[in-house]
Amino acid sequence: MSIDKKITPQSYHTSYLPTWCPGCGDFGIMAAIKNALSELQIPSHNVVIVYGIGCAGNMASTIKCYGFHSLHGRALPVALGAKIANKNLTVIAVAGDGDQYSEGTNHLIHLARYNSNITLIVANNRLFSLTTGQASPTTPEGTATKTTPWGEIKHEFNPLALSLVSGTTFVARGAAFNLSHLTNLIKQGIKHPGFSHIDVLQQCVTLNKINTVEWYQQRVYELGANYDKNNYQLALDKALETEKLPIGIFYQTKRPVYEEKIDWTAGTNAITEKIVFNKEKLLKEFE
Amino acid sequence: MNNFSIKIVGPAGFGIKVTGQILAKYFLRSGANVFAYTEYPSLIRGGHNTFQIDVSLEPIHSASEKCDLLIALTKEALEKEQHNLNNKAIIICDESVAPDLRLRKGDNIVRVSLVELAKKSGGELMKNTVAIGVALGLLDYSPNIINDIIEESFGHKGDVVEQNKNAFNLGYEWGKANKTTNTNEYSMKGLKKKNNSLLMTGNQACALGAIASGCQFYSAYPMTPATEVLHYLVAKEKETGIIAHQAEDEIAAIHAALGASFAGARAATGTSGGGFALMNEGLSLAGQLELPVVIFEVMRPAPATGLPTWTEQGDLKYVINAAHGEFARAVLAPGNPEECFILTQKAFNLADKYQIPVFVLSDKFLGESSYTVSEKIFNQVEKKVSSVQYQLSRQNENLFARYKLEKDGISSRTIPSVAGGEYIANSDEHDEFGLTNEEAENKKHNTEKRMKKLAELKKEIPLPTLYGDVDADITLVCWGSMLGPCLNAVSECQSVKVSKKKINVMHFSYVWPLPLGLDKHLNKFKKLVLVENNYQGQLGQLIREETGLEIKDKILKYDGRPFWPEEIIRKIEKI
Repeated sequence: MSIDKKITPQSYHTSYLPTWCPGCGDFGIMAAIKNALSELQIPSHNVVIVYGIGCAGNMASTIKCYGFHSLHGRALPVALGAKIANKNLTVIAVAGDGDQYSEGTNHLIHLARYNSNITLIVANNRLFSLTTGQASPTTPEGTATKTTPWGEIKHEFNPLALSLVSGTTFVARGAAFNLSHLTNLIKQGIKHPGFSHIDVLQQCVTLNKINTVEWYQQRVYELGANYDKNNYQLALDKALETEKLPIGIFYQTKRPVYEEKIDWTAGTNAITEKIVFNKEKLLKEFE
Repeated sequence: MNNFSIKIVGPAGFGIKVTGQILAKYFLRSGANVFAYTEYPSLIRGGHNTFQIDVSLEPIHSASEKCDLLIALTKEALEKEQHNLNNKAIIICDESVAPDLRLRKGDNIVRVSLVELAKKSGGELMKNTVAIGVALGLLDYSPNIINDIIEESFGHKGDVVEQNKNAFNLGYEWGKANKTTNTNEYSMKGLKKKNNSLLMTGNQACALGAIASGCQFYSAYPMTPATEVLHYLVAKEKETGIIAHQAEDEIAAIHAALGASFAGARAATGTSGGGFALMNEGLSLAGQLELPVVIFEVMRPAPATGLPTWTEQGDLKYVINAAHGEFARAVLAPGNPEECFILTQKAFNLADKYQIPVFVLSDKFLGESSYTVSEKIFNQVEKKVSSVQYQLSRQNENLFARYKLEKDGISSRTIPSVAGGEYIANSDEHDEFGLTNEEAENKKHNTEKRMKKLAELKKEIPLPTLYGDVDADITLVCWGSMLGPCLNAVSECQSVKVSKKKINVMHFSYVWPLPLGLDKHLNKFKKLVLVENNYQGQLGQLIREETGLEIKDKILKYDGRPFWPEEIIRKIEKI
């Protein structure tokens, strides 16, 4: 592929046939990522996508770039290491709700603190699907699943509210069935200088018979042009809404970025940094 | 006397460590060989802290069992130590310390108004500095270089420098005035000032090894006794350019290192056993993705929280076998700071060459004890090895065949930003491009590919190092930090003729994989005796597993303390 050739969504295609169920929300998320990257004209060799484990993680083989299919819950620390090592890369993390909000919750809170320039996309189908349908932290209370046959008795987790109070500088919600809206959110997330968290409402056509596309469409509304995304308190109120489900950018603010604050590597990258072993100077304190 | 041992003891918060370090540096700069060993409980105030300095004209590799001069800052501290004294020991303590102690005949208790003298120089806290003044005065050592060391130690604390100098002087004058004849034997007439000796811990030497290796990214979570590596590297970030990241937990620490390694940085992480337990899945991930990473595991006694600030060699089998699945790894176990520096560099190169995780396995005893190290060793900087392709001659439309099956199992690797080098580092079983693949043949070939690297690696693992005459009656077999106590035991045996038997030491600094031809090599020796700081004799078990040869004689210790050379000698005598 020559560099000057125009980048299209096809530039990110691999020969691998996705293994999702027909109608799965992950198709939409995959397409939105490819669209966003091509609209921003980012060559595939400068893109790192780190995946967690689950149906969403199985996206790994379907996008041509430097992919890293990590472990369950671990996409974010891997993404952080890659971003610190080479600040010029576009680093995206793709995870599921079981993945990021259960096993990987700790990393989410800390990435929010670090404000590393990474875009996190969480395919949130409110269920563990690859393991055939167990309750996840976003499964609504009362829902019957394989691990909650009498209905989930634990309270539901609010990922966007958690992200907001943890310090995420770009908090958004999209929907897997609204491709152009999601594409735009991902573009905004990539362009945002700092940690971006995009929670994606996603249907699971096989295992989640309650939160279907129709169910979502009755509840979803877009945060309009008049919505003030710089208002933190308003964003928190929006994140706490449960009857209706707003989509769009809830909150955006600027804060110094972790890897940029590492000032002794300013203007350079860790991978090109020549580490100085000045023997005389270093050994002085041991004399 | 060619060697003696000074010990400073008292509760945490009494400045035991800083005083000990001042004294250790004093003897080092006076030309002696020094070994400094410290014991402390896992708390911030109170408890019983010790700092022991073995001073010798001969090379010294470990701490001795008992001391000749004890500085006890409280009555409780003295009571705890009264059985760890050599004959005719000198004990320095405050005059208020109980006269009811039952000391042995010949012990020389020196009661000084430590507190009064300290108050005179600016504050009671400085009674530790008064005490080292008393000690050096009694032993009739010159006070000349002490001011420099005090300035270096307290330089950032303003008035404290002058106050400590005064405290030392008041103590020194008192010691000089009260000198008795029996302190003369500590004078060490043969002392000659040397210029190339350093006092350094194993952790510091590992960190320096990482810097010399060009390590660009280190991520870790604080855990005793591995934290000093992180402390050191953080302190040197601006000077060297390394990035040392304190992660939110050990899981994140190893995964961030893998992310950085994937992106092309030389990367490492470090922890102790409990933290390493959390890293296990990341270790397996490194095996599957064939990513280089160096892991410092500084052992402490376990299970669970165990003894956080003490020592044990209990994780050998764990580190070799940890993580799910079969893949290649290397485990290096340096015996002293020189080896820490050299083997850390080796670890980075092996990791890069074979694209595998490599361990540098040490423990609290090696990690936190200060050894006398020759400055010359730091000239040994190894050339960096890399298997990364930074440019591709042929661009392809598809993904790069990163996991291409090669004869030796080592495929060439690209890093993000290399055009045409895109591939998937896939934790699922994958084809040569990294695409998920569950075919039987593919899995079989990939397992063989990943294990082939272990067979290749084995070819370059050296036989264990032999210290002493080849022809010996008894060979002490040890690994990692137990080199020091074994070497000191042997030299002690030879110099004071406690044993008629000829003894040498066989030290394994490469513990996994074990070298080729080890069975033949071991059969050359008359009698092998295993010396390990654990219960099971884990190296012995490993040797038996790999060679079929059983080392029947074992000297084992698992009480959280390192071996004292004297103990090893007593055990040898019974064999």
